[in-house]
Amino acid sequence: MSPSAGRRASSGVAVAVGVGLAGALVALAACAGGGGGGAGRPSVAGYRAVPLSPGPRVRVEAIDNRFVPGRIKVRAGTRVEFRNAGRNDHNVLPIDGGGFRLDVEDFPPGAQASFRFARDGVYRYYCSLHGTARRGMIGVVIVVP
Amino acid sequence: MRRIIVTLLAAALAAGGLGACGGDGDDGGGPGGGTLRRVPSQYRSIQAAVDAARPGDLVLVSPGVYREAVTVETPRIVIRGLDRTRTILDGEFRRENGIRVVGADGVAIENLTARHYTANGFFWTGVRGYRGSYLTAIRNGDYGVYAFESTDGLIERSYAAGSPDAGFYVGACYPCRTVVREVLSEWNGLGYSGTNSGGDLYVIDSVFRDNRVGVVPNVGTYEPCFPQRRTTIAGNLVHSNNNGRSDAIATAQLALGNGILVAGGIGNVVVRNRVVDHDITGIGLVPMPEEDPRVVRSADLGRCERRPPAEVLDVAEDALPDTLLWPVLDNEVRDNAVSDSRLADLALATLGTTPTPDGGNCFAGNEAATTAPTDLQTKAPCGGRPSGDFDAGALDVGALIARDKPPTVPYREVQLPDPPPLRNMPRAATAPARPATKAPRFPDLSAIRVPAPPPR
Repeated sequence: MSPSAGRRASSGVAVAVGVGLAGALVALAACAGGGGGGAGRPSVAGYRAVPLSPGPRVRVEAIDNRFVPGRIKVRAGTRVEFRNAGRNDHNVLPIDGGGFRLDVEDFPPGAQASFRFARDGVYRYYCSLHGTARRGMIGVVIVVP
Repeated sequence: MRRIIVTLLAAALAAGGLGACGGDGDDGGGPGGGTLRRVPSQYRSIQAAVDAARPGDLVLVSPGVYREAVTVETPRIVIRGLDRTRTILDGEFRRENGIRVVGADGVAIENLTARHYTANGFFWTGVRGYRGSYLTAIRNGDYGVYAFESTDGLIERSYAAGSPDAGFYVGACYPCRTVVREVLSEWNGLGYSGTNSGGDLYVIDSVFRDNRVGVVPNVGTYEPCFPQRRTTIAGNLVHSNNNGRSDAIATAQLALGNGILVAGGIGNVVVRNRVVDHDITGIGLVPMPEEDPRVVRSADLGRCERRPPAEVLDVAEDALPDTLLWPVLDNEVRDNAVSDSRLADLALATLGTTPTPDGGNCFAGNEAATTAPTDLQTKAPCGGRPSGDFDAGALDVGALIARDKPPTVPYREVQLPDPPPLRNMPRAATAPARPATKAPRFPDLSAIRVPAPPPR
């Protein structure tokens, strides 16, 4: 996982997430085996049908109460931007670890934040308000080399 | 001693009831029946019993206050309180949902109270088959009873008060195949809300009173399954939804003082309701203004969705309008009794969003003293062609939106009235478990009558 993370508040003003946090995210990613493919994690091969989203930046919207698109496939190094486009609060919690996370207070309606996915792997996540790690409001970022 | 004997007898009857369940193939319990799991005598918490439950089981909860938030992921279980008003889930204003059913089909919740949750009292999401019966939801921070992206549901004989969003909500489903009946919703932002829902969706034989706004099918890009279409609203008593002393989300605050308000909906049927005492309209059809809509990508359209207006479909982010007006189209308002509306008993405003001045909406057979525009039932008749001047006597929607509205009152602080007497589930201790494995029976609309006026 990349150290770079950015956030934009509902006002539309870009705010950088602190370097310290970014560093911590790197450490978290390392601990969690951010390269993907760890025991119990789904593999990239299981997502062959998901089309590749081109470009250096791809957006995922949290609407009420679903991530759209729910599954994206990107190249390693792509920055994925999460935006709360709903009217409800949401969060973005990694299921298998990894250095990305948005808590409710960081992700009110209108807010957005981005994370760079540097290494290939499958990164599942969910909103704990409207789902669990197994069902409901779940999404996945599939990162390919 | 007598009390102990009664308790033992009740327990024996309950066990017998489950045995009966096993033989009732029609209720989904299945041959062999399920296991009775008692709270708190066998399980210290409802969550513990739910976690142990298997499909077909009954979690039977004794009276008491349960300070927990329950998540259900096991299909086809029934969670039931022994006493509706004394079996209470309490969120203490720090837990999110009383009972939340996530992706577990066929779960029924019966005869319980959920209060003081920061989000919802009772919540189903992503399920096929659900039922809520004899539920009470009081002072919860979003919705009282909330069904989202769920189909084949029945919400009945339930009560909701004190939520800033809707007391009862069915949203993001098409076709929903769902019935909401015999509920009472008061002192909420909206009595009923249905965003992007419809298709065999019936809201019937219920009372919506003293909310900010009564019954509101509505639409937006911020939920799946747009646009809102084909809900039937029939046989309800909708009155006095002018309550500025409640909490309210923005939509509820904006729409204060309307009885039944179809906001940007398509093909809904509003029939044989009694609608009384509203500051703005009794029954109003208006476009839905969605602020800050999002870009909708064709590639992301789901099976339940139709193409949204061109202003948001596959456009660049910087080309989005600040506000998207969803047109109100092809709705039918028939045979309602509407009275005591301060601006208009019946109203239609298309604001130029439809190809014709009536937008295919029609009005017929309604008892109504005032309409906006004037003579609305003549100008937009059902089964006839629109005619006449739709500007004469039209609502000034801009002025209504700009009107000063009473500020919201935080839901924790609202001075709620005591609930009226609420019926307990019959034979709660002994009735067989009936998971919600089938679509509900849809109502015979011809049998629905206009309800009596509210008591003075």
